[in-house]
Amino acid sequence: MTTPAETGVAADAQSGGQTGAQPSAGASVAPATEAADFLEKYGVTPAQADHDTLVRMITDLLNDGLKTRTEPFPEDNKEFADILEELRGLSADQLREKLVISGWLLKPYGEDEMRCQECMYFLFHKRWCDLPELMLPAEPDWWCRLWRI
Amino acid sequence: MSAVETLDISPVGRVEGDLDVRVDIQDGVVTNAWTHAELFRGFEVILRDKDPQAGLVVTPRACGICGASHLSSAAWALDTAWGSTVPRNAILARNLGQIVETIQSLPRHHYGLFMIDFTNQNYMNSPFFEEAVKRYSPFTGTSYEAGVTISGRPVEIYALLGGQWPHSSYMVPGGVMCAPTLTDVTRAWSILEHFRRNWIEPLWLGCSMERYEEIQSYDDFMAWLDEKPEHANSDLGLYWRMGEEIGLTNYGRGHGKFVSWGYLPHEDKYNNPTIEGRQAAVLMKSGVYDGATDSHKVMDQVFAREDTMHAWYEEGGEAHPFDRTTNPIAKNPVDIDGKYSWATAVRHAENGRLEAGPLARQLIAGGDHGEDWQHTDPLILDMYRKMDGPSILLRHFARMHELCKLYRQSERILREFRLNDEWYIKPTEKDGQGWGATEAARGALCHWIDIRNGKIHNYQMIAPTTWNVGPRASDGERGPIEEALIGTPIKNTADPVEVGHVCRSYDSCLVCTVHAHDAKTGEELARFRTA
Amino acid sequence: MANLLWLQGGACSGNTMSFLNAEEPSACDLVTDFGINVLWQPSLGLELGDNVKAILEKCISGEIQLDIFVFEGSVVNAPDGTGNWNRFCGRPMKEWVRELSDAAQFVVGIGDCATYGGIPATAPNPSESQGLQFLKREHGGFLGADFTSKAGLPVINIPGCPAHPDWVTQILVAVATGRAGDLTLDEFQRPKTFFSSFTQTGCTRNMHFAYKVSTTAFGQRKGCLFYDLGCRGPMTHSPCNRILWNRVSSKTRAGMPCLGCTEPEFPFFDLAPGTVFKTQTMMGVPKDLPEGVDKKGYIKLTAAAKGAAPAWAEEDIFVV
Repeated sequence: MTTPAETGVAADAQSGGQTGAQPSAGASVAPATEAADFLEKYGVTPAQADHDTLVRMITDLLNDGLKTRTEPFPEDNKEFADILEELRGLSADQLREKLVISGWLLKPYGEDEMRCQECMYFLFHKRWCDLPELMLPAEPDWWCRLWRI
Repeated sequence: MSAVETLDISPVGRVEGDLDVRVDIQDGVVTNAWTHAELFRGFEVILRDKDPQAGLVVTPRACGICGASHLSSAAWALDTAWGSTVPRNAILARNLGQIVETIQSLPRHHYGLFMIDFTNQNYMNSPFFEEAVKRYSPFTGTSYEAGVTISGRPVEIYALLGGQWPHSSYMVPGGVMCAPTLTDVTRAWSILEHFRRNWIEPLWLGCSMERYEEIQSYDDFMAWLDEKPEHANSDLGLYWRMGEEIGLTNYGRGHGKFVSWGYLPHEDKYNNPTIEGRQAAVLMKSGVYDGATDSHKVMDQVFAREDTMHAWYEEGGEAHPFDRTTNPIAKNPVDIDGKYSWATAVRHAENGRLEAGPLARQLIAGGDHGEDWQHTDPLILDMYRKMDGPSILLRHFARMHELCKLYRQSERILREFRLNDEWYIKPTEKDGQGWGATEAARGALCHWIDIRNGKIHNYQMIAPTTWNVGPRASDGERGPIEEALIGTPIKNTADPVEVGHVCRSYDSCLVCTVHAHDAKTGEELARFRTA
Repeated sequence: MANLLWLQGGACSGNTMSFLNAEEPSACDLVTDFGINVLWQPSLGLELGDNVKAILEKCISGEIQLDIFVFEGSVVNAPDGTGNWNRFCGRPMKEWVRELSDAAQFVVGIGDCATYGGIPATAPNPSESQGLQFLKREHGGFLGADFTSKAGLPVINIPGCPAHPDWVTQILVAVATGRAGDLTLDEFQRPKTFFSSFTQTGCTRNMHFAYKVSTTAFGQRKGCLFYDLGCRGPMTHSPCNRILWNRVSSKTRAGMPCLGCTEPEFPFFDLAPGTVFKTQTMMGVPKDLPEGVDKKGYIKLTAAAKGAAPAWAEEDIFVV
């Protein structure tokens, strides 16, 4: 399986945990139409896309009005783990679902202006979200409800 | 014929934990025996309603001696319940932890627990006595000091994987926590090499491992013993010669029926672990060996039964651990004709009481049952046949014989690691039943887990000493150690070292026996010792 | 020459096994080089049955001077305070512990069970276990808060599950060689020399802790275990990363989160569902912060660290 991590940044075959945490393709049925839509528009599916293409896919989806589940913010690690569980069943091509479930936004959130920049999982130099269940490009002023500090 | 004298021995030290034994002696020979496990901590009560992974933290601490074995069983039980995928590196890393713990246990048991008895005044007239005192006196004996001190080396390899020994929890469902580097592997190699060059070959064997490994039969072994003074005078050679001389071939027989869960899952055959699939996926095969009919068969967990007729529980007959509802009696006076122990009598549904331990493993390794690719070894079975069955001498020798094989397995694992491959695949937590098993140094160990609503509904363990130290079963069949004590000659009732020989030949580990058979409520239990 | 007696209560023998791993000095060195006379030890003692009982009785009567009484395991009080679930040589072990503690010059509690009650005292504490002078955080325990041994010291506690062998042997040698006066104990009667620094002190993952890079799942080659995997290294007092285990490593170095086993609350959260190997959080912030750091400071620190983190901190560091 080609993953964003392999095509984008940190081709990290040495890191067993990361490889292992990739959504398995067989775990759920990836809507073929969605993958086909990406293929038609970008020439690749999300699973095949490089870093820059993934950024374009994400920003296009959200700028086109994709509504994501920013609420409820997980109150404790149990609720946090429940969201991860939902994400773990997705294939790498199910980008839209990933963004929706994680409550992805292209701007800071809430009165505290929470954003990726301060999040535990944000790798600043790679412009990357290191959470195994997401493994997507991220920007300092973006946010999602899996924000952790 | 003289009167029966009853002797209560509390404690029989140098078994791990508190063991009390009652023996009836007539004309200087044991005619009846009862074994009592002594300490109750209630680990299964503690585990109830806890996090499904709590067993990974708690069960290694049930027993400071077999922590890797408990951890291994706990992790495999969770893997089968959750349906995890376990990468090959992780299987190898778990097996390596199991093996080095057992290799550690061997000199520690041999010198620290077993050979001290060879310096007992009972044997002062033995021609080997002076040499035994020189080598095996506690703390100051030449071999004692060397052996006990070097026994800490193998578990340094455990620490490379898990951070420390005892009591790491590095095996987790889906794999292991660690991701070893090349330097961990090379360091492990050099630890093994040091162990071999400084102890196995010069002290233990008196020859190269390769020479020892040529021994395939009883006759081969006797020829090896006579071949060179270095062989005869090695710790292994002296053990055999003095053991024969002081009569250790003459008692400690037991039932002559044996059990092993098998262990060391193959790194490419148990990546999707299931309860049903395990026995055909382990390198060291499982089995039941019946000495009376000289027959072997594969062991399956469905045959395990716990019988509480003579244990302080009110549960009627017997139950499989998954079906067991533990129900202790409120008052527990000792009644050797009724109930007299917290340990249940573990049985095989078809074969009754079975002995667990290295002798069992090696007799089973001699069988031609199981899978073609599984390990076989004819030596101990051949000795068993030529020496007319089990004895203290053979039971402990079987333990000593395992050393070189396990050493080779650890070498193989160090070669098989693919360092850049994965070590862990994050599993999805779910409800279900699981079973994990292994062979601790001292025998068959397994855990059953039942997870409901995201927490532990029931956790059951059967430890090797549970097999061996349990009381009589419903049909009156004695526990294996009780049976093995029959016929034991007692020279001095004020210091019955012969009882110690029998008990210690099983390498009993009471600390993980009693909590494995505990209360449902934990509150009404009481505990007793005899007399 | 110092006479030492070592008994086990509600124990797993783990501290005995750990003790046998000691290197400098080794268990045998204690006897041959430092003149410690081991009167009896459950795994090592020569005697059995009534001969063990005779040794205990002589220690209590004073016929044998008991210099150091080492106790491993919890004091079992069940059922109903009788201690009958743990009898030894014909009596509840707790009675032996009381009398031997009164007879001894020094009393040393080894491991969590003897110190705080440990795993057996985890809810619902079926064996009614206590530590010698503590039950979890509560002072008192079996011997009472005011207990002092003949030498005038309270129980010297060497917690840990198990205790590191060097922590044990060094204290035994200090006592046997007349340096007990140099011992200073903290609020849990732990020798300060070992338990003032943190488990995190010396951890190889400190750089990733500082730059806020998480080990998000087991088996990875980078990151700190505090953020996701429940590591208690920054809140736990022990020298695990100063005096390495089995000479070679520590749990956190190997990739296993610290469980906080030298602290009275171990096992933390009573192992409730969802607490094992998972950092407990509240609104995205760890519930337990590094000792002495408040939430506001923690958030500031994180923001600054994230902003300052170098590129290498995002890469694997413990590579093959």
